Amino acid sequence: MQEILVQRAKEGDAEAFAQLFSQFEIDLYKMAYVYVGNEADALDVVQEVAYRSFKYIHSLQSVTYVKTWLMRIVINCASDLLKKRGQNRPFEAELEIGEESLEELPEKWALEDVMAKLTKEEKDVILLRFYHDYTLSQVAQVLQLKLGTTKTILYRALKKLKQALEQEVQE
Amino acid sequence: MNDFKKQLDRIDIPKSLHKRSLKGIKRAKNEQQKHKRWMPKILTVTVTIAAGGFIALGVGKQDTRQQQSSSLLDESLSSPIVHWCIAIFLMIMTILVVIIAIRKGIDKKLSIAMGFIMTLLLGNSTVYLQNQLPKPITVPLVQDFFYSNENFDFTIHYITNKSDRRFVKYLQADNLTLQAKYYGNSENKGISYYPVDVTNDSSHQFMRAAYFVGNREEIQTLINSKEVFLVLDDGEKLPTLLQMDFDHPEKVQVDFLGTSGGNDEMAIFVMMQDVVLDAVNIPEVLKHSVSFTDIKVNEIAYTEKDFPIAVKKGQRVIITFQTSEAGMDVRAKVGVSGRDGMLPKWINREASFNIPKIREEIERHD
Repeated sequence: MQEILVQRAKEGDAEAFAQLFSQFEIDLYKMAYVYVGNEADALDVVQEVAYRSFKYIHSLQSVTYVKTWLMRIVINCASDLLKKRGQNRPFEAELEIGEESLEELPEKWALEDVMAKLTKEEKDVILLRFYHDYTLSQVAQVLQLKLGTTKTILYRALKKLKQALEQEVQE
Repeated sequence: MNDFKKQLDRIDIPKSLHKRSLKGIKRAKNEQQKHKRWMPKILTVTVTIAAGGFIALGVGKQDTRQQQSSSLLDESLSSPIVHWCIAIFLMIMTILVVIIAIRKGIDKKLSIAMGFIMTLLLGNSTVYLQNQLPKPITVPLVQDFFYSNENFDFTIHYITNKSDRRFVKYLQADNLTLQAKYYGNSENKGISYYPVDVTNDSSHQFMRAAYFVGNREEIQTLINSKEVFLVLDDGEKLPTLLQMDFDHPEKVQVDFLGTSGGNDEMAIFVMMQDVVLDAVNIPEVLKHSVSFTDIKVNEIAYTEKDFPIAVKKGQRVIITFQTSEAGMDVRAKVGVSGRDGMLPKWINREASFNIPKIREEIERHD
């Protein structure tokens, strides 16, 4: 079914593309929301994603990668919006990777901490890994990063979330 | 991790989400249609300008009237590289426009088909233009006349592009004007196919003939003139290389019993007197295309190195000359001579329909 919709969308059928896009728009909205933090901007991002994805539908190599492709567009659109609004947090210097394994890091995070404390790169990894259940390799592929870098970013994000949680507990 | 998901699932989804998605899709669709309206026009305009510009470059030269023949040929055949560079550049531009059109969403097959056709047209135009002469060229003529004649006729060949319908009206040299006469159908204006009676379909040019008749004074004027022109019906003058001469009575021929047999390259004689032959006579203008092979006296062959040779009355003599392809028409006399006269061999040969050869010949004489 998706294959037919993609084929028709590539031929310029807007309705077919709308039908295809509607299968993902909620997830895309939620991702956008995590990045931008409010409903209005998230809707802008989704609209922009719909525009860009239909405009460049011919660049989609295979129907298997529709979701991945859309997620990449969301990440880019959200990043562009944040840059426009001057809200893009700069890339942080790498923290020392401690001896704690990933399994020891907290399982409960506040969504607000994810939205407020993490950089865009860290949100990318967290969302793809824990919301979309991608493996680390898949995350690295989507974000076009080395696996090692992806692990580092993930580790850093989780550490921050842990610190944020500990702070809340102390309060 | 599940808690994170649960938290994300609790995010309120606005009712306007789908509407906003549709809005974005609609915007992309509108842009697509705009491009689709414009891209074929841009494609057409680009390729038309490309092709038109190329044709303009090819035919827009202004030729001056009085030029050396060799420089005319330089203009006609000297710039195939330039033509092809321009054509390749335009082809690359066409391909780039097609790629952009495809990226903008124009039908892939249609774009590729249009691009392919335009590339072929450009290539075809290049081949056609590269082979066009900017100006007709005349074939050099070497001609000897029997002095004893009262009237003298000769034919000058000239080469024009197939699309060029002009013809030679007259020949001009100093104060002399000789009107051109035509064989057969006057409407044909001297267009002939070359080789004779065969249409050369692959050629881009025709070889034509202009036929003239003059008296002794007129021919002498031609012989003495430094510049001779064929003048076309529109007034354009074509420089012409003529090498003419009279076969004067003082060049006495050795008495012989005529020629019996022979062909294009050899002449056969039976001697009526004893003679000593000591020189080969080939006009300077023919030396690169005519060479003396040997002289056989009663089947014994002698070359020029063996000269002088004595030939007795009653002996059978065969003189042989070799001719090679040359870019000129020849109706001239060569021979082997001695104090008493010359054993002649007339060379009658039409130029090969080979423009580089003709060019070579003209450059040689310029």
